[in-house]
Amino acid sequence: MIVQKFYDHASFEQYYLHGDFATHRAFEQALLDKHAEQDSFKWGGVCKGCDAHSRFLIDKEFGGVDTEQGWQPNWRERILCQCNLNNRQRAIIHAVKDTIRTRCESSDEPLTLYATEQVTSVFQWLVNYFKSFENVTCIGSEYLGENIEGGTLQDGLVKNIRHEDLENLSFADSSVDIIMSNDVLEHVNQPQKALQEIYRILKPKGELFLSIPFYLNAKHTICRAKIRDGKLEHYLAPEYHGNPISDEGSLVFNDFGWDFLQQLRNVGFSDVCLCHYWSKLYGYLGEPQYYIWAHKAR
Amino acid sequence: MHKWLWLSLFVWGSNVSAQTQLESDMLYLQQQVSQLRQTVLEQDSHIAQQNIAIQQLRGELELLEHQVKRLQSQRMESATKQPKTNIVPINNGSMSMPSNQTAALPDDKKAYQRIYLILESGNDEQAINDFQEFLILYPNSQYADDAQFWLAEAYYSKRDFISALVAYEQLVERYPQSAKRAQAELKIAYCYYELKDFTQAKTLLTQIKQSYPSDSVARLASKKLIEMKAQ
Repeated sequence: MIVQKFYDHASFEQYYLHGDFATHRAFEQALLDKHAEQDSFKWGGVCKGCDAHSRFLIDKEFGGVDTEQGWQPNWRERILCQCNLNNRQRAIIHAVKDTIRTRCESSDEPLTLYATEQVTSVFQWLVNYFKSFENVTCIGSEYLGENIEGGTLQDGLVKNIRHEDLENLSFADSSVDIIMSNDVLEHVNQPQKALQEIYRILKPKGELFLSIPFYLNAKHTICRAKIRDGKLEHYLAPEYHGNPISDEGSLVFNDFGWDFLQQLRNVGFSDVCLCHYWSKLYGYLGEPQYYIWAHKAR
Repeated sequence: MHKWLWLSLFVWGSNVSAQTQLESDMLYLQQQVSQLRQTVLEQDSHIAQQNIAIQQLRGELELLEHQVKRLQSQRMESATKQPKTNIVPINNGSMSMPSNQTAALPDDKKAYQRIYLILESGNDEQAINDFQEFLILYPNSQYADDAQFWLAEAYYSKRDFISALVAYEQLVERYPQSAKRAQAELKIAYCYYELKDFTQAKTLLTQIKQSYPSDSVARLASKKLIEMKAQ
C-alpha cells in the first residue's frame, strides 16, 4: 500500500486536480459499469486483516445509492472481507499492524496499544493478532456514560467493558505507545480536550492513528452541536451514527475540516498529516480514502 | 531447269545449316547441365561440411554452457556461505568474480548480481531475504525494480502466491515505468489463478490483452484465458 501524506488542503487539492485521483475514479467507475445490472459483486484481493486472499463484497448496504448512471456503493464502509472487516477498518489495521511489527523488530521494549473501542470486530482482531506478541498489550475501552470512574470494568451488553471518557482519560502520562481511534472523535463534545488527553498519555515517539468523517473540501470544522453549561445545543439538524453499545446511536458534534490538523499541532504533535491510500490489491477502493496520523516527538 | 536446281540446292543447304545449329545448341545445353550438376554436388558437399562444423560448434557450446553452470554453482556456494546481512560488503573478495572487475562495479550492481545468482541456484528463501534487504538499502537503485520483480518471482516459485501478489503489486505501484511492469501484471493474474480466484484472473488477463496488445504478455494472457475456458 502506498500512503501519500498531505499536510494541508492545498497539497491535497493538487492531488485531486493533477494526481492519480481521476485515474482511480475512472477505474472504479468502470468496475461499477461492468456490474451495473447486479446489486452486488466481488473483487479479488488480499486482506491485511486475515492475511489471506479474499473476495471482497461490494454492495449497496450502508448507504449505497442508485443514480441514473448506475449505483454507487459506500466504498468506505463496504468492500467487506470474509473476516467481516470493511475498507477503512482493514486499512487502519494495516497501518497499525505494520507500525507495531516494525517497532517490535527493532526493540524488545514492552509496547502498549490503546484503541478507543472494545466491543468491535476491529478490537477483537487486534487482541487475536497481537496475542502472539509477548511484549504487546492491547487495551480497549468504550464510553459508558457520565459519573463512571475511568479505567473501571463495567458489565453491560458485554461483560468487562472498560470505561474511558476521551476528555478525561484515566491513563498515566506517557504510558501508551500507539493510539488507534476509529470514528469516535466526532462524537466527543470537546475534541480539543480529547486531543490534549491523547497527547498527554502518549509516550515520546508515540503515534496516533485516527479516522473521523473528514470533509476534504472544508477548510474549517463545522460545529453541529455542543453541550454548554450541561445543556445540549444543536446548531444543525442532529445527526446520529451507529453505536455498538447503544441503540440510540451517537450524536455527531463536529464535521471536521482541514483546521483539525492544526488542532493536533496546537496540542503539541510535531508531525501531523492526512494519509491517503488506494490499492486494487488490498481492496482499498473508493477515492478518496484516508486516515489521520500524528507523531509525538518529545 | 537451272532455276529449280539452284532452288533445291539452297533448301538442302538451309536444312543442313539448321541441323548443325540444333546440334550445337544441344551440346551447349548438355555442357551447362553437366556444369550445374557439378555445382550442385559441390554445394551438397559444402553443406555437409557446414553441418559437421555446426555440430562441432554445438558440442563446444554445450561444453561451454556446462562450464558456465559449474562456475556459477561454485560462485553460489561461496556467496551462500556469507552471513545473511552481507549484501553490501561484496568487495571483500568472497565473490568468485575477479576483484579487478568487481571493483569497477557500483555496490548495488554487485549486490544485485550476487542475489540474482542465489535465486538462480534455487535458494528462494535466501534470495527473498537478500532481495528484501537490497530494496531497503538501495530503494533508488537502477536495479530496484528488477530486484522487486525477482523477489516476487522467488515467492511465486515457492508457491507463496499471497506474498508474490503483494510483491508484484509493489513493483507496479513503486516502479510504474519499469520494463518489467507488463510481466508483473501478467503474474498478478497468474497468482489469482493459482489462488483459484478465476473471476479476478480472467478480469486482469482481459485487461492485460487490452493494455499491451502488441506485447508478448498479451499472447500469454490470451493463452491463459483459452486454457481457463478449456478447464
